[in-house]
Amino acid sequence: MKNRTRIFVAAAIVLVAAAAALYFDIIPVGNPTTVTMGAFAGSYWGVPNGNSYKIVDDAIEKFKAGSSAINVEYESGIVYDDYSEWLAERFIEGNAPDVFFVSGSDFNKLASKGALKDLSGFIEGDADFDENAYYPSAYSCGSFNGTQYALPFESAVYLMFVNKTMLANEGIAQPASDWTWDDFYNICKSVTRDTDGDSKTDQYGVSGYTWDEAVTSNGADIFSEDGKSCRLSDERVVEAVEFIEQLEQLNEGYNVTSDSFDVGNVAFQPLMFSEYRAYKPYPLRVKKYSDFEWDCVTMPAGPSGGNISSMDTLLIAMNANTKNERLAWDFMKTLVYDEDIQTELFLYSEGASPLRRVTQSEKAAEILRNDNDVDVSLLDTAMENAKDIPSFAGYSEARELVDTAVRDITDGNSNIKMSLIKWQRDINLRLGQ
Amino acid sequence: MAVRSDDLRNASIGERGTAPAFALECMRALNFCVVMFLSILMCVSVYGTIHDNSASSFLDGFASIPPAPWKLPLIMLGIYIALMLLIDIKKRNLAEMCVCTAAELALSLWICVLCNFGYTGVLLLCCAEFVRNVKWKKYAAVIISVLFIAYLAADYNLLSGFLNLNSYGAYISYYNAHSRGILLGAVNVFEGINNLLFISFMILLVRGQNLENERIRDMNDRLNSMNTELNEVNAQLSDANVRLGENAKTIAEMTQIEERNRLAREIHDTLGHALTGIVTGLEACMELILIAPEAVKNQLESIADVARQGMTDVRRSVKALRPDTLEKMKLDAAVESMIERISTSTKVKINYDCDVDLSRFSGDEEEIIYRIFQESITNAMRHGKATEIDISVKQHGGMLTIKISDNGIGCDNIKSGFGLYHMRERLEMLRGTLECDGSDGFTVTAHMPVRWE
Repeated sequence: MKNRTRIFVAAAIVLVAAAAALYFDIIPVGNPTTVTMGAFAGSYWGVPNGNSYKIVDDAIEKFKAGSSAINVEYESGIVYDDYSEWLAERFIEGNAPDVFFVSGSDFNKLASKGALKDLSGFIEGDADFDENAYYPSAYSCGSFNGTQYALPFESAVYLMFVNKTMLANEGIAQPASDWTWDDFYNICKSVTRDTDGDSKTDQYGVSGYTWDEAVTSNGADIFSEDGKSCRLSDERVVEAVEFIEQLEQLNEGYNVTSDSFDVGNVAFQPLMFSEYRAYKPYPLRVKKYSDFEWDCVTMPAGPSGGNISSMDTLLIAMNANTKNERLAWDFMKTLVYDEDIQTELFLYSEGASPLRRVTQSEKAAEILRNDNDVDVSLLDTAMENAKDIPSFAGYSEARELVDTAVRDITDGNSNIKMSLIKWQRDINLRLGQ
Repeated sequence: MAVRSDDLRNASIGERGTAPAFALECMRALNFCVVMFLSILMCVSVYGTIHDNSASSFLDGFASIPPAPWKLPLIMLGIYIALMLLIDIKKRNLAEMCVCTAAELALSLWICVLCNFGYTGVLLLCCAEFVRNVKWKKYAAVIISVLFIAYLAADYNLLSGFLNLNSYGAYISYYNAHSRGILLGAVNVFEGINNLLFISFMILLVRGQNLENERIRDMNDRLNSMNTELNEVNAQLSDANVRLGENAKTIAEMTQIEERNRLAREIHDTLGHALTGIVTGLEACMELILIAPEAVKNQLESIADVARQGMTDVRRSVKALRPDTLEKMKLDAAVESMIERISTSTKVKINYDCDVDLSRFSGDEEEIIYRIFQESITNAMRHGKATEIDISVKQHGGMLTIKISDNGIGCDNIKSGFGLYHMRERLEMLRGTLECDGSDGFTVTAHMPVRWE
């Protein structure tokens, strides 16, 4: 009888131990000197890119230079549009890579599900690594609920594209980098007119400038960090919506699209820095904006804010269940903290390095000057003052709700503040669900 | 001496083969099927999602990254078997009971977590198994309460308010609305069957316990009546004991009287006889001393003879009172030793013929047999002046016959002296008889029943 009990207890312990080992994934599988990497082909910024894996390959080579035994593997051929799905598949299948690119929109989703490794320990334990080397907004993109789960690889800020040709024709000076809403409004007002005498307005001030840009440059946060509530009744938001309404009134109901900008009929359009870099050099510049000279400038400052732009950042994160965390961290560091690799962003990609010392470097300035005719100090200022795009789960749905609200308000005649309070209540109910 | 219901409850109720045990076996089988079905379903959902390239939206439904799908059925199988093993372990004391129950609860909760709290029937199975095995009433209520609270609290909607839990619904979001309805309904049906089985188990258990209690009551009644009978017999026995004690006392008193009589007989036989002779002789001497002083001398010599004889008799009596020879050796050896002694010290010839094993008699028989030999030989020599004595010891049926005859003068008119009377009296106490014949020499025949036949 006693023997039987012993056998049962032993068998139960063995089974539970085996189940726990499986469940908590504590059986070391795979090669301890191999880091797997999740990367994608094409550009994160949605612009044509012919150097898909160049930077990653260079980083791997540099990383491996330290030791011949280590190896980095990645699955090639996944285009960016499929990358989010591919990553989700790897996670639910239980074979996610050790280190992987993660977009701002996927980051919160994965961090909230515990899929990402908390990097605080590595950051604090690594004397070489200084988090202050990054632009604050870029760095905070990788933070979720106060914990750093990812590091910025590449950033791009929104800048205001300016149709230099039109402004020159109108005799208007190029706006300065500290321009305001008033300057912006005045230029828009003076360029909005009929140029060919058919008494129909055919030249407009701005396209694609929405409440989003206005709120950001007026220093407001429309959503709480967890995305559970919005602050439509904030005075700065009210100012922003009023400003949008004013701008729209200039167009007298005409919906100005980016196509109008492309053909040179619009003075301003907010675009990402990556877009600017993609279309500025030959031959693409010929293909897209052929009829006019253009440049970019910081976003106009709202009365309560500053020349603040939104910034999107491509992050690199580590799998929470990685078996080679030390190696993974070293490889991550090569990607995000190595000056040579980060400088390659200006050569082979369209974003900018989130590392201050790289973006401010002479080499970067030279590349930008030669290829894109971009003033690095403008980029540096914009990135320093940038605000990261919210990335909480359901951000795009929440944004659409606010879009609807703002459209409803600007199209109607009701009191803006009162309407915003009403909409805030409605949207908060939806967000809280 | 009542039988406690607790002692017997677990011995019979809920053991294999009984109705509650059958309900429990069904519960085990059902739970096994359900948890394996769910784990395989979840596994299939994940692979299906990957196949359909809808992992991203599928993952949106999860609060945390789910375990790798292929592991789910394996983990589930391992934990379920471990749980069944733990349940089957015999718990010998309270500590083992508590440790095992805690482990069972932990494993059940783990199974619930793996099922994403879509199915929590395993906890109910745990409750049922505990109820079946419970022995310690006091603590049972506490443990049962803990198990039931765990079962009631293990609800997805309740727990997801506090914990970051995945839901069963997230897995089946892979299927279309129609299949989802069926799959959700199926789990509810399983849960319902499990509840029904649990209720059946409890009802059968309670019914079984009632029957058991009745059986125990019957047994107690029977035991009580047996107790009463035993008490009566005990009372009778103690009465008999008292009587036995009294009898023993009487026997002791009688033995004392008998012993006194024996002493009196011996004194009469020896001292009395000699002293009488001496007194009579001395009186004759007193008369003769004046008439014929020469004759007095002869007379005194005769008196001295009588005194000497008396002394011899006294010595013999003392010897007879303390049959040392008999105490020192077995009867057969003692008899042979006595015959040898007489043969060598006197001219008397003794023919001893014995075909009975004398060593098998008990103490009182040995003594009387020895006395018969001793007295008869002494009488033959003293009174009969015999020169030859024949002794035969025979056994016929259950009767021992001792015959001692001599060639002495015999006597026509036998006057039973103290010796013969004593022998007869002793024999009669053992239901024996004594016959004397003085017509041709002197013959003594003693019959005595043999006890050991």
